[in-house]
Order: sequence, then structure tokens, then C-alpha cells
Amino acid sequence: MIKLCVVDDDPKDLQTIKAHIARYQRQAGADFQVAAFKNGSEFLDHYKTGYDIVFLDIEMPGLDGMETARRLRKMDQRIGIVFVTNMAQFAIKGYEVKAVDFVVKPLVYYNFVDKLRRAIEFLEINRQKEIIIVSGDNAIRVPVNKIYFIEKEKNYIIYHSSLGEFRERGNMSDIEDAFLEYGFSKCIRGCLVNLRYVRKTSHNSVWVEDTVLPISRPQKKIFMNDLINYIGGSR
Amino acid sequence: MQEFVYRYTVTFTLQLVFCLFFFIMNFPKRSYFVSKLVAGTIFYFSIAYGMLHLLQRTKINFIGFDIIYFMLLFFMVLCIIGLLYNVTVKEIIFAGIGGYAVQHIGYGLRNIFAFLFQVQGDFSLMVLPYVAVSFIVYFTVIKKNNNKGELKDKDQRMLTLASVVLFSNIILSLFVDTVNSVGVKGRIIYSLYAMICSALAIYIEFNLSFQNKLQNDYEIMEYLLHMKNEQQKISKENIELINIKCHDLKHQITKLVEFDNKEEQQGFLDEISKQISIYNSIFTTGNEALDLVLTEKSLACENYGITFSCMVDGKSLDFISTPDIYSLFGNAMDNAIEGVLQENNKEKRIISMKAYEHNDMLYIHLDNRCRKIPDFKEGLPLTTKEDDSFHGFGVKSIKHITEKYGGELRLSIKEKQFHLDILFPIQTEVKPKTTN
Repeated sequence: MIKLCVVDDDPKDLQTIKAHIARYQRQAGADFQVAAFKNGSEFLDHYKTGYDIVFLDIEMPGLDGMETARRLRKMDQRIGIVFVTNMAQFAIKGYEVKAVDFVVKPLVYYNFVDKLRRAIEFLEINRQKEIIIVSGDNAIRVPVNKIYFIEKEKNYIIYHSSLGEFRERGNMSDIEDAFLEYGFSKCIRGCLVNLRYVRKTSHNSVWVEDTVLPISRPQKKIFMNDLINYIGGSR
Repeated sequence: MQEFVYRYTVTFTLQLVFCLFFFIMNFPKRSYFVSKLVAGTIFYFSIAYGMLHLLQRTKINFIGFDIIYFMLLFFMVLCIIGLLYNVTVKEIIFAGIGGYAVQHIGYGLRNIFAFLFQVQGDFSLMVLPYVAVSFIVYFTVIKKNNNKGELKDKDQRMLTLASVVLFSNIILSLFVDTVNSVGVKGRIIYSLYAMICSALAIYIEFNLSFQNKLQNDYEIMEYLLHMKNEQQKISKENIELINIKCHDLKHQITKLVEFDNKEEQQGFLDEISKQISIYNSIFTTGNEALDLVLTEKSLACENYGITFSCMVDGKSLDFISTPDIYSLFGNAMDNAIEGVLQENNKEKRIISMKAYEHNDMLYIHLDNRCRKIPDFKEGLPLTTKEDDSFHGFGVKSIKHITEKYGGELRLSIKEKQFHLDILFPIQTEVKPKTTN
């Protein structure tokens, strides 16, 4: 179940968004719980962590959308923020609060659903997942989003993470499919990179935190494609 | 086939490889270069000697065998180049013809010296003429053309012409070599002829690059003139638009006096205020150049009922020069506007832009709805316009600028939406800001 919030001072717009969400829920068979608020302060006062996505109107009297978002971010790093704005020609400083996206009024269904879906994707990517690594006699739990990259060495798989290095007997092919779903991508045969930790790339290398790894020619197109998809949907 | 052919195979190969060197020295190497080189060399000589052995056994002294043999050697060398370097077939052929032509000039030179001074098999003759010619060709031709920029689209017809000129000469030389009745004078003359033909082949090869470049320059000039014309048209449209708005405003202001109620007057003034504000530069992305582009394009968007919005961290764009910003975003917006105009339903005319820093990269994204899905070739969309002869120059320009700053460009279609994505590595050195 996904918990959505809508914050808008205009009751008509509030109604429109709720209607769009309901319509999408029916069409896609999704499971939503929706909460609505009339202004920023009301929202922040009643705020509970556990909300997944919030549609935040920018132009509100009193506490406007941007300020609400800033204060929200101090409390919750995880929640996905989608700004709703009236002024098509204004450049929005959504990146300051790591907003996922923005929607422009009038709230057309097609556009709105597009952004809603992107926000849900963002959620999926950032869900906390853990894996269990069997290293020697120990079984270690490691959150997936702490793993920088995975490489193959002979019969072993080596996980490089912020919690250290872990070795496990096995083949890349066994774990590849799963990790590709977790936001990893193959930069070269035998090496999976967590796109979250890519600092930058050049034409044949990728910087993963402090390590430089090669990108092979056959993998380049797919890797860059995955990276762009990740960055594009990840804010 | 004589005994000496065995030895000559080695010398010929070494000469050919040396002469090829200057043509392939800038080629990007493939992986496992050394092991491939070793394997390739072993394979090459095995085949060469294998074939010689076979031909010896047949005991037929057919001149054609010589020709086939040397063509085979040449072909194998080209294959090995393809194995070792990451280049197109055309580039290999280009280098191959050039290299063999140089070798043949050297051969002609060697013959002239040999026949003039009656020396045979001198070691220096096997080496010096070839080295000398290689260097001369390098400094007079290759080096000069490297600076003029590489044109990977080598005209097939010119390559064919060059190879016909060269190989007809090589084959005839092989014939002459085996005919005993040709005297010293004859040999010197045909050697001169060989040198001239080979030089001609090289000239054709490099001249075609030059010709292509001229054609390119002409096309670019025409494109610039066309763009200037388009700009003028847009300026004219904008001015007309503003004229109409001002005209309306004049009317509205005169009407203002008719309002008795202060509240109504104020309401009316607010309306007028709002209308005027559309024409201010209200884009404050943090990057002046981008603000300018977006303001200009917003007029077109306003005119065509396009909803455009952006989330851009202008400061992250500072490492891109002002003209490049105009060009990159100008072209991207033009394409997006054109794409979105295909939608008859104005509600669906939406363009969104995002640009922000992510770790040490700059991410730029632009999407627009488009009904007609273009075909793609090599990652770039083919234009759907029929009358415009400047196909895809806008997109080529975007690609050029992306590559200039070491970035990656991706153009894609996702569910009737056209997506433009660019990833730039953020430059570590801060460029000094110049007032433009």
C-alpha cells in the first residue's frame, strides 16, 4: 500500500487531484491511501513519517510550498515530493529539496498520472532491501543500498560496501538478475555497479565512490542507459 | 616461384608494416592488443609459407600466382589491422591503400637506385628508400591532413579509384619484374611510372578528404544562412505578437475610465498587470544565458498554447560557455516545440525541462509529447520534415556540444513522449566567468 498526501489551498484543485488519484487507482488496480491538507502548517503539524509521496502546491498563503518542503525534508529524507505549480513560466527550485518532479496546473490527467507513476518508481528504487551474504561460517545481513559494487573473482563474489568487503562463494549469474532489479548495472563482465554511488563517468570508466572501474564497449550503451534512467527517476 | 620469395615475404611484410605505421598510428587500440598481435603474426606467416609451399608443389610457373600471393599478404595485413584496432572498414582500407602506395613508391625508388648503380640485395636498399618515402609522405601529406579534422565518411568512389590506380600498377609491375626482355632503361622507366601512380593514389585518397571538407563547409554556410532567416522570421512574429498585445492593452486602458467602482478598477488593473508580466524575463534559473533562451522560447510557447515548465539549477550549468548554452538549449527547445505542435489537443502540448547536479555529474532532461514517432539511426532521430533540407542539424549540434564537454546524449521515445537526456561530468577546474 502506498500512502499519498495532497496539500493545496484551493479546494477545487484538491478535489481534482484526489479524483485523478482515484481514477488511476481504478485503472491500474493500485492500492493507495490518500490524506488531504488545506495548507502547509496544517500538513506539517499533522505530519507522520510513513507517508510515501506528497503532492505539494507551491503557491499557498502563509507557509508556501517551497518552505513547507524545506521543513519537511528536515524531518523526512525519504518521502517523495512532487510540486504542483500554477505558474508555467517560473523556474522551480525543486532540486533544492530533491523533489522528484513537478506538475503544472491545470491538472490534466495524462500529465498528472505520468508524474505519479514516476514518483512511485522512485519509491520502488529507494525501498530498503537487505541481502544475506554467506561468508565462510557467517551469514551477514547487508542493506542493498550500502553496497557500492560487486565483482567476481574466480569462484567468489566480492561485495564492496560501506560496511566493508564481503566474500561469498558463487557465480555472478546467480545474483545478477536480482541486483539488476535493485538499481545495479553491469559496467563490464563480472562487475555490477550500484548506480546510486556513481559519482561520474568518462567514455570508458566509471567512478564509484572512491573506486574507478572500467566500462567495456559492449556494455557501455546499456550501462549509460541504466544510469540515465536511474538519475532521471531518482530525485 | 623462386626461393627468394621466402625471404622476400619477410622483407615485403616488414616494409609494408613500416609504411602503414604513419597511417595507423592514431588508431584506437582494441583490448588484448599484444596477444592479438603475436597470434596474428604467427597466423600470417603460417598462411604465407603454407601457401608458398603449396604453390611450389604445383610446379606451375604462372605469373598470376605471384599476384594472388601478394594480394593475399596485403589482405591478411588489413585483417590483422582490423583485429588490433577499433576502426571502420573504410578507415582500414584507406590506411591500407596509403601504406601499400608508400611501399610501392619505395619499391620504385629502390629499383631505380639498383638499376642505375647496378647493386642488388644490399641491405640499405631494403630499408632506406622505404623509410625515406614514409617520412616524406608523413610530413607532406599525413600530418597536414590530421590537423584538418578527421572525416570518417570517406567517399567509397574515391577509395575505389585510388585502389584501381594503385593495384593496376602493382599488378603490372609484378608482370614486368618477371619478364626478362625488359632492359635496364625499361626497368627504370617503369619504376618511375610506378612511383607516379602510387603518389597519385595517395593524392586521390587525401584529396577526397579535402573535397568532403569543402562540401561540409558549404553545407554549414547554407545552414547558417537558413538559420539567420528563420531567426528573422521568429523576431518578426514576436514583434507582431507584442504589437497586438499592446494594441489590446491600449483599448483596455481607455476602458478603465469607464469603471466607477474602485474595486472593479483594481481588479481590471491586476488583469492587465498579469498580461504584461508574461513578457518580462521571469526565468531566473541562476544562469543568464539559459534565462535568455527560455524567455525567448516562452514567447513561442505562449503563442502556440504550449505549457512549458522547468526545474533547473542554473549554477550547475556554469561550466558550459554562453554560445553553447544558446545552441544546446535553443535547439532542444526548438525540437520539443516542433514535436509538441503535432498535438492538436492543446492540453497535450506539454514540455518539461529539468537540470540539476547529481553527485559529480550534471543531468539535463527535456521531454515533450509527440504523436509521430520518428525513426532512429545511430541513436539520432531522422527528421520527419520533407521540405527541409537541413535534416537533423539541430540534433547534430546538440550531439556535438555534448561530446565537446565529455558528456553522453540519449534520445528516446517512451509512450508517445520524446525524451532528451544528457549527462555531463562536472568539470573540476573552475573556468573564470567572462562577461558576455
